[in-house]
Amino acid sequence: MPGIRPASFPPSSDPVAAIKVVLGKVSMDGHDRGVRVLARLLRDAGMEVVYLGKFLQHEAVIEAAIQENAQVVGLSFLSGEHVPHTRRFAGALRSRGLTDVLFLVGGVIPRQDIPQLLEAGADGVFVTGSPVEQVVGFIRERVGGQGNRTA
Amino acid sequence: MTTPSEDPRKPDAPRKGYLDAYFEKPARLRTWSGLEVKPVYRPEDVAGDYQERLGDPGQFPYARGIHADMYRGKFWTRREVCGYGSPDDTNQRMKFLLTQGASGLNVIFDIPTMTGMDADHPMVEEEVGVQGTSLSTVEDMEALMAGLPLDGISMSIVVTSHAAPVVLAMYLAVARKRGLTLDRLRGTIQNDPLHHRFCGYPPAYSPLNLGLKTAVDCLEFCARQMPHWYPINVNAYDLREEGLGAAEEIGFSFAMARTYIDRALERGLAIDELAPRMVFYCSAHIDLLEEVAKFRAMRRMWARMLRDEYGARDPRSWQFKFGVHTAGVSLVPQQPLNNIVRVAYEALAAVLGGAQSLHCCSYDEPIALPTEQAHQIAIRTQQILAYETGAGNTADPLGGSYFIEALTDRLETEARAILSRIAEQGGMYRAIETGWVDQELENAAYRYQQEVERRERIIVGSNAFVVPPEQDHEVPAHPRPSVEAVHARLDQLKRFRDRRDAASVTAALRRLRDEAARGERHNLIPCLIDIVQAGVTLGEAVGVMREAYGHAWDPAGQLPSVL
Repeated sequence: MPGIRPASFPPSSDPVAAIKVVLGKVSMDGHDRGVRVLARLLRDAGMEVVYLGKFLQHEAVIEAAIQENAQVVGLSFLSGEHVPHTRRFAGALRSRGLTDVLFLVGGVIPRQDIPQLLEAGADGVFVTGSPVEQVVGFIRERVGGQGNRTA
Repeated sequence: MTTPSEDPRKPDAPRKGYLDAYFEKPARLRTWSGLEVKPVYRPEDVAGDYQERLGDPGQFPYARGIHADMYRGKFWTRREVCGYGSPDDTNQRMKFLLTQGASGLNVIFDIPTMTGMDADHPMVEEEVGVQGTSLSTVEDMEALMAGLPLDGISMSIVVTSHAAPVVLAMYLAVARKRGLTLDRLRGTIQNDPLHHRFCGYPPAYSPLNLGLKTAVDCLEFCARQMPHWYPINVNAYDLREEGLGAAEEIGFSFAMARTYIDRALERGLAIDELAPRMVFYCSAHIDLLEEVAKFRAMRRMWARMLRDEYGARDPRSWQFKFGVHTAGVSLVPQQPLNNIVRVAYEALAAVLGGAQSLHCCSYDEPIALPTEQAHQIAIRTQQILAYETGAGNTADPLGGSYFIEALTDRLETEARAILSRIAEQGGMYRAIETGWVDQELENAAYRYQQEVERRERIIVGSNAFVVPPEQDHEVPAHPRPSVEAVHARLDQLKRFRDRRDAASVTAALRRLRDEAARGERHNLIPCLIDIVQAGVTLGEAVGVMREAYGHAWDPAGQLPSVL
């Protein structure tokens, strides 16, 4: 992995215990600068990250989360379509039995939509301009640093 | 570097923090793009002869501006990007902008339209009218432009892929229906398929071979029939938004422009026929002086490239014309009203740099589409600049500053190096195909964010001087279209389809198929104007062209070909 590890991210003490994260973009919007950069910075923080790409069907993201045995799934939005997609995705995620997967939503999102997104089933929402260390801290707190989730 | 806990820029810092703040020196002594800056610049930092290096405004190589009188002859065009909901919704907002003093219009479409899909495509319901306005038919274009005089307004149309010729054809069909000749229309269509490939749209939906063919069709048609229309607006802005620096913005966008020029020359256009019709859409980022230097460097490089490498003889071919979009990516949703200030500095850079047209981002850009009030403030920002600051009273007011001149030279050198690297790879098209461009964009964005995370780059309200979200001011957000509004839009399209004469639509589609089969050099615009008038939709016209160029009718694989 290129780049120097930023000082603000303490390295994971044990690579075997890396938290597994799956990121992607559903919907037709393809602005993915934010999510691509997030993927690299989460890796720098010691997590194992799979960026699935964009224009994904919800099912494809859920399948990947199952295949990868991911503890965290994140969707990125820019163009204002976050609420219906989050509601539909969270429903599908939980109905596939992935109740303990941490589901994060991020991107260009009005603050007043955050309660709606949380109510729709997101576990955390990070708007543009949030320092990545906040995302890292949230994931560490909610998932913990040890061990892969067993399916 | 300070850690968050001891950040002296926090308002509640202890006494030591106040003193640290008092004695604080700037940590970053580079431009926003990363070029090192010296403590002072002196005459010896600026080499060369005035005429050769700069020239007066209006004189080769145009470093100081393309017109002798610059804004004394005409203000820059004040146009704000606008598009949401249905064509009627956007029509209302455009009229509002004009009543507020906008001097041009700039319409942007939703993702389905941008990629050539009709609003009733089974995959796109959640996207209709979300990111821009929805447009599928010539009737939609009539609604969009209702009550607006096509021959009395400068119109900028933001659509870039192989959907561009169809949208343009719809605009021209409306003009024809109103009895206007094409030479009376004034405006721009973005029509930059290479940039479209990077900036937010599914690559499979925008095949480059077809995009380049139709881009040259637009260029050729407009160059010969529409003397006041700019048929290619090379989008440097979106590339910059992906994380590139100022020199890269020049290098990448010039490499794209060269691709279009080369294709158009192959088509048989003369350089002096096409070059005067090419314009650029540039970013104005937050580093005021670097941006001014960038615009000056772009003008000089363009003039020399066109004269010396392409042999252009008409001075209009040498004149680099550009619109500016202030940098959306420089804005943050934390303490959002601060964005008004950022936009004002960026707009100032555009005017000190000699832009022909300006879009100021609304302060709520990192939150949602603009509310009416946010749009109004963006226009007011331009008006304060135009009427109060005096920034436009004289051409190139920063010319002759040792620093500005040295930075202009430096950016030109850097940009030339980038152009050479792209040329060595066989040009921009090839550099895209190999993935090199993607990698450059990715690395640039990553480095940028690393610097933000390490606080080597300070962004006020985001990584310094932060307030907890619950104490931040909340601003209103433009709502997404309601389910009812989307269904009304789909009903409208269904009624249009039901009303059409099926036989003439089929005949029109067959005609397009036959004309598209006549090869790359056969211009499809006249045919497109006729067939959209006959009721062919955007998705249908794009589908026929896609098939003719070896791609699926519907890249999503959900709709069968109608032929």
